[in-house]
Amino acid sequence: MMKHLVTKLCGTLVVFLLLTGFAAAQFTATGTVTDEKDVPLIGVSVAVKNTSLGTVTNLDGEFSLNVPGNSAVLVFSYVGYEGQETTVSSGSPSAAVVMTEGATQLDEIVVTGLASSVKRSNLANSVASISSKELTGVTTQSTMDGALYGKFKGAEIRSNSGAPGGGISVKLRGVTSVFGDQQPLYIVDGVYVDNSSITSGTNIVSEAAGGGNTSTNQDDASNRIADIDPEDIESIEILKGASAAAIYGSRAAGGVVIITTKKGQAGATKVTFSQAIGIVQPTRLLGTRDWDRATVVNQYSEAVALEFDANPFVDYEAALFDNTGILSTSRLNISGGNEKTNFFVGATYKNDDGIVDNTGYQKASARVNVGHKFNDWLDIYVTTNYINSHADRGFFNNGNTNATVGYGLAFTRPWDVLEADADGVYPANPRVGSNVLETVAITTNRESINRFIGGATANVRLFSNDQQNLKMVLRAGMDQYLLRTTSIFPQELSFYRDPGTLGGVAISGSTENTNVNMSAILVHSYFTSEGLSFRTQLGVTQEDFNQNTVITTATGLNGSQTNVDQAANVSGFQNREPQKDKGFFVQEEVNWKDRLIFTVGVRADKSSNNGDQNKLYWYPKANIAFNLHEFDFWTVDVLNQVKLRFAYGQAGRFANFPDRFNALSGTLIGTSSGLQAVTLLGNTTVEPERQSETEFGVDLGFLDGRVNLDFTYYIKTIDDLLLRQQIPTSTGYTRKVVNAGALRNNGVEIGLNATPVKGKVTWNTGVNFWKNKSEITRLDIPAFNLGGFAASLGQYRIQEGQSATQIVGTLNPSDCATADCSDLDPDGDGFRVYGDAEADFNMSFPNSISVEGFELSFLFHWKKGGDGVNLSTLLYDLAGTTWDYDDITLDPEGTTGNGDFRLNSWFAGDTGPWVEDAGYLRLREIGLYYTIPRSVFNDKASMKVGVSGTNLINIFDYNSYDPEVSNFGNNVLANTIEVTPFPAAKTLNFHLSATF
Amino acid sequence: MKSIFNYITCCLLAVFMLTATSCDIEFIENPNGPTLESLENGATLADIRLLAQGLESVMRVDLEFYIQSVSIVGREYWDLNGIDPRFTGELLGEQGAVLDNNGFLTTRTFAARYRAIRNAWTLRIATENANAGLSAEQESAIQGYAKTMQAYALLLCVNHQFSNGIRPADAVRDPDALGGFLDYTASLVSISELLDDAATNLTNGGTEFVFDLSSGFAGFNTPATFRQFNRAIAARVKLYQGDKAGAVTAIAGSFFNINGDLSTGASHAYGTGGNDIRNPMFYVPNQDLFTVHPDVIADAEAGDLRVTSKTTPYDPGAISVPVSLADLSGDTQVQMFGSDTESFPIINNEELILIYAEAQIGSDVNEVLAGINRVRNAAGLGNYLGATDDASLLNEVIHQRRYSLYGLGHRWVDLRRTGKFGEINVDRPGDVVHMEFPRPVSEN
Repeated sequence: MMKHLVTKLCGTLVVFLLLTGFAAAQFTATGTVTDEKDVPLIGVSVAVKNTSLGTVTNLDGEFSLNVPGNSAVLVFSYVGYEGQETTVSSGSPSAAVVMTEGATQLDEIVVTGLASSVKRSNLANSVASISSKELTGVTTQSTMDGALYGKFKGAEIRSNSGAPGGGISVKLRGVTSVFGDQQPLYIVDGVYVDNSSITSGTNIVSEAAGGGNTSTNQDDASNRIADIDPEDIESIEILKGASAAAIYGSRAAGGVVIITTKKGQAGATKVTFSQAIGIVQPTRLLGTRDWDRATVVNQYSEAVALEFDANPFVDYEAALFDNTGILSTSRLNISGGNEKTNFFVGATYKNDDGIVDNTGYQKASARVNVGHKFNDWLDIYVTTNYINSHADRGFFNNGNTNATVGYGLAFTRPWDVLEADADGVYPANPRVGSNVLETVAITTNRESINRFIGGATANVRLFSNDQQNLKMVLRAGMDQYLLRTTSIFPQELSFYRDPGTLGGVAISGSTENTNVNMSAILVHSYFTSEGLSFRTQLGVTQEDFNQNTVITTATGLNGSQTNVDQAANVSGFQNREPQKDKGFFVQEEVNWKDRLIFTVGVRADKSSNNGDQNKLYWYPKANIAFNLHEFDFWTVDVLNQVKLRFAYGQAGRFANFPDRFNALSGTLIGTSSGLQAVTLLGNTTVEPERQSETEFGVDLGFLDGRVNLDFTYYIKTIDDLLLRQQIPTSTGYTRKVVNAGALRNNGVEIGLNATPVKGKVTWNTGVNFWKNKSEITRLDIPAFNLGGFAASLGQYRIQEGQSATQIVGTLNPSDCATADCSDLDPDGDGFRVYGDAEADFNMSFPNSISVEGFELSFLFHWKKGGDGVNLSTLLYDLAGTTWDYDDITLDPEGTTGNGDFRLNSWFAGDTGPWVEDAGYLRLREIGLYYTIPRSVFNDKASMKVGVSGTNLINIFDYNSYDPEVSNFGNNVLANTIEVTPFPAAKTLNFHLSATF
Repeated sequence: MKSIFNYITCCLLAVFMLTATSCDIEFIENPNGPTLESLENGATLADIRLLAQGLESVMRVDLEFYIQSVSIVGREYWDLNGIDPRFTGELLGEQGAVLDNNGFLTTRTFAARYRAIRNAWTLRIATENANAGLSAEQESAIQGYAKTMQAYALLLCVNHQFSNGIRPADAVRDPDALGGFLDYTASLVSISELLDDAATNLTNGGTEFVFDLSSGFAGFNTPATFRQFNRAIAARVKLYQGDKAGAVTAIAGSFFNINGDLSTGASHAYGTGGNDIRNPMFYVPNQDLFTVHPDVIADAEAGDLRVTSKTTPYDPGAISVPVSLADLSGDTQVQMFGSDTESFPIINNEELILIYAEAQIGSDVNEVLAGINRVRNAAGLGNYLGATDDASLLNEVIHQRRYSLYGLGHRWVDLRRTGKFGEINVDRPGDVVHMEFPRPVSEN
């Protein structure tokens, strides 16, 4: 099959290569390119239309280019400026071009493939692009993924908690897997970048996942894409599904986020220093229950009321969370270069406090990007990035020992005495579990990263004439990091003082991750004189991934010692996940005068993660774009762009690493080690999931691009769904890996952006709307519950014909209107649907207004609907400490307080009280800047000052700190379940930057 | 000339494509553990040892879910930690709450017992196909050991499931072709037969095992002595079956000794090293709020040493006493162990004496009284002076079992099998006493 294909393609290529044009007359076109203020523009690309000939302008904005024939159309393009075309001829060979800063995005270049980019106006997909200005121009962002909120359509982005250092889930166009990695593939300058969330091993203390497990996803780990410094980024392209991302094959089912970092430009060396200083505060505090003596007696007992009488009243929530942390980000950019070499140096030092004492995030990131042109046929580009960061995450989320701070707080009453005595010794919580003040004060839960990401790209122009060229793109990338997790729960903690306890815990984890990717791609371009151009790409890729996690846990610490060898007992855990993938692809693009752009291609992949590691899986794609406005018959001036587009593609997702094994794990009893069966029954013939996406849409531009409207509809199906079938546990296993189902996402994305006012006052505004609906279309195994803790506490349910994110619970028989309960439980499975995590729709409203050096930008984000499971309220209710326990807003009869009302309904079997609308309206970010004119500094420098904030306005009904929260981290389907998290925060920053 | 260049380019391209994709990817073995396939076909002696030792270890997994759930349902103690509302709600039948067939209280203990049975099957199958140079006697001993462990795991399952019954060991040999469920009576028969079969294997099992057992089986770590443990479990099963004669016969083959140390027996060993696990039924004083049901203290005879040795009053200096949650309150903590490395008894001589006494009811009053008084005297109580009719004696035996076997998971089973379920007092209006746990949803 493959050999045949190669032969065929070779043949095609030979035909192209043999179609060499006749030598003809030629002349030299020259000229200058300036901006509206007559400043020369350096590095503007100048191309002869419908050929591969081109050059860039020099330091003085001048160019010189040999042009065949007697006349030609030159195309000028420059990032951030409107494109231009000018006709030159042997009679008048020179041109003076003035480029204007553009509101239109039509000429923007969009990176979509492994070695190719496409003009946005020719794109057949709805690819979202985010510029550095949109990403970090409004406010300082803590992490790259956090900067994406609301900035493009088709994504559900949510943070897991307010803990410093990240932990954010990005899902593109709905649910794309049930048990697989939900997150997109991140590629930074061609390097496949790891985005794992790695357990810190604190489960031994929290027992969130039951005792005996080292690894759990409930310990609020950050995800590693957070390491990428958003200030380094020039642009981000988001390929939201298989139709755009098919060329990335088996790793693209979650979509692909292509990040391009900043690059030096030829010209004077530019130095920018900027400093942001800010504060962070909780977005919301919940308060305490309205206690009085009668309430205390009623809730607890007369004995407790005596404590209530005697002790001072302390608002422990405020003591823990109502703090103002200081944020500081220092940034240095240096860029410059000449015609042969360009460089960019970026360095960031960030030091952010969390709202909880002893939490925070420090990051130092340094980047050097260098490009060099050796000669006519060879240039290379090298990117390097070193990151060192520390995140002190605090100790929150679920637990079964009452030790986490969140859990402990639920069970702490304002009259409980928790303050340290004169010797600094904290009393034990008199009721149960931990002393939250003590836990915050003396425990450590830290992630430290040392990471190097490096990539190199070489462009080798093998062959070129005026009608065709052939180049080879060689690329290699490496992402290597060492993550060290350090969790220390000292022996002096009140819950570890007793000799019968674990006696203090020190956990030292290290994860070494090495990703290496290599590719070689041949790109052949061919232009005919009729305005038809062809671009053929052939490429091979190889990726090696290796992750090795070792966690050492010590208990029974020697006094105040924290080394793992200063302990009575030490145990180890190790997990290694090696993977090797190989693949190749071919792609053909045909462009007819920018009127009709047609692309067809296929990628084939094999991987050691598949049951058959040498089986090739094929992922085809095809797409077409019609630019009606490019046709001669188009005469509607008000409509400057009318594009119809259609795209289809397939992509895959590998099984998880352990899925193809029936492994046994190690165990120990006394002095005898042994082997024990694990609960997951592997599948030695496991196959990847296959996603097929069809997308069609229309892009309209009005009034020379002052108003743009785009509309996209997509249908995305995932087949061979990798599931963990619940099998009878009497097999000795609980789940078995099977490819057994299909799901579908349908969605629309509509964008409107406009520049209603332009001139001295410029106002850019927009509205984005997106909506997705998922459905399990086929399920070869029985319906099953997923995520959460139990049906009565709210779970997801995977069921044929239903949404993939429906939230179910048990039902209260007395709620049934009919004897058989068919109105609440139509399928009779004993579960009632209480909600759906999927938002009804999302809208975002970006705006920027600039007036004479002032620029105000803000972004509102409205998520309508989408439910979460709020088990924090449940715990507070059970503890009798809920902030709204005595309010009467839920009981339709208006007699029972909220706390009792929720508990009573729940005791009767109703899960409803815990499933809540998690929609919100937020002012995601706002920034106001003033640029001090260069003239003030004698044209030697410019300065910018400003103030900005994130999440300053948050409107939601959700009865906890924030509706955006996940107890189970980012990489699970059921990531809307809350158990006493680290509260969310808002930030306010002051900015100063100077450019020389 | 040009065409030659083109030709060369094209060929280079083709070669490049083919070399890059034709080379195979090597199979990557699981670096994190051995696979089942390798163990079940041609296991070495080291593999067999690891599987056998792993079996003893895995018997302990999630045992606390069994012990705590039956102890709470049987009103031996409450969990007032408030960490999971189901411990005071669902388990105590609050407002008539039914047990969730998908909740961890039901599913985890069931799954863990069958996981141990799976481990035993892996050992049995590996032994059948091993390349370990095992003699017939050694193989027989391994089979006897594995079957006994399977039988004990099944017994805990059927205690939980009662009328729902279980799948017997043979029904789960092949995870891809499970056999059906047996009813309660047939389940006990199958367990009893498996124990008898294992006893025969052990009889033919030579003088020593090829693997090590932990300190929990000190004194029971050869085929002959392990057989005594097997017979002790068999006696318990016979008692449950109502086969008193069978129980007496089984006891004869066990380590029963009416004058011997009551604590002699086999147990689950716990430790703190490496991948070992700690005794989860050890409760940190004044911190893990497993609270003795007040009836246990109220119903005890004055001076019963078992009450003071297994429970400790909460210290008002360390915690608010009484400890209260969900309208339940108590002032005494369950304290059966001095540390989290103490062993948890599986079966001991004290239980065998009481089985013996119960089995003699209706046959030999003197033997009944001998058994009862042996236990009473050890607990600091005088001889039994009550009525000696069968019903009274049974009441007394069950009363002694309540204290001798406190916290070991017997009370609930004893009341159910002797028709004394009504003796359990509920604590709050509307509470119910569950008779059995539902069959886990995964089995339906």
